[in-house]
Amino acid sequence: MTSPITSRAGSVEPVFPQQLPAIPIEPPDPLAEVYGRMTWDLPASISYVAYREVIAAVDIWNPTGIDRMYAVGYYFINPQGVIVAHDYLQFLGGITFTAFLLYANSPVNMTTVVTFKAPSVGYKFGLQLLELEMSGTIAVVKYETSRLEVALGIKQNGGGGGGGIPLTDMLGAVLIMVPMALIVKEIQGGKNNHGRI
Amino acid sequence: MVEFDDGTTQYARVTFTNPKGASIDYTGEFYLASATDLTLPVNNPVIKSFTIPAGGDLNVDYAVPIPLLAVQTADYVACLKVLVGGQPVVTFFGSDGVRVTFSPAIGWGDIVWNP
Repeated sequence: MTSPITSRAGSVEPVFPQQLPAIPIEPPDPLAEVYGRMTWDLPASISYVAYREVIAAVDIWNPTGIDRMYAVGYYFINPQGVIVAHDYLQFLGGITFTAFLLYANSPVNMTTVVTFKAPSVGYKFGLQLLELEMSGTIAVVKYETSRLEVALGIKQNGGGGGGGIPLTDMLGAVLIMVPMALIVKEIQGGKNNHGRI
Repeated sequence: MVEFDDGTTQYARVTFTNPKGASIDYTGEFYLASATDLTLPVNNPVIKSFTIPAGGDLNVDYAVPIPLLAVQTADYVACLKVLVGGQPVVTFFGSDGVRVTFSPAIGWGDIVWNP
């Protein structure tokens, strides 16, 4: 009989942020913006047609003198004011990236493209820049430092009003985030040679 | 979580996209790190520099050296540091872990006295 060696390294959790702030939540403390800033090229409201894709260019930077880790949360609020989706943006790819580090005083902003759509007019879509800190091997949310929100305006088109959209429908319509760098990553070979993780 | 044998080389493909309206010079450094120190590579970072025209994208393949282990398994985080024009912009941390296992696993048979 053969017995495996049982010694093993301590288990390390993947870096995934925990404790996404519950919504509805208070707007971030304006003072928190000193820890992380985010802007986009969308106004506070836009005219919208159901299921039309909206593309936003997002700039994120670290205005502080030390390196900091962040993640970006997103949410949808339906016309009745109910939060129907709330999660972290994921930088798409064979390997999924959620947390990221921005360097002190961000010599270059991180530019990202966010694409999203909603099943009707009257929704709101928002982004939250969240500062993270490591607690052991887990990244936990420390502050919400910046918030962006756009109202998908009452415009026209069939069904309008759109209340009562099931959450599952919303999730199917969520978003794609394209970081300045990667979109698709594949691991080739090894034990998981299908690559998509 | 993907799993690889230690001491092997695995290939990671990254598609970089330039969302800007001008050509940009990028450098991408791919490495593995422990979650307890995400900025300290446990292998030699694989560094690739390239230029992407405005609005373009480019597949970049990284031959990633998987570290040798002195233990049975170890879990790491895949990290990708991106520089633009030589300036560090961001380091992404993988949400999914990379598990490395010692290969071949060391085992032993039952001790037989006076066989």
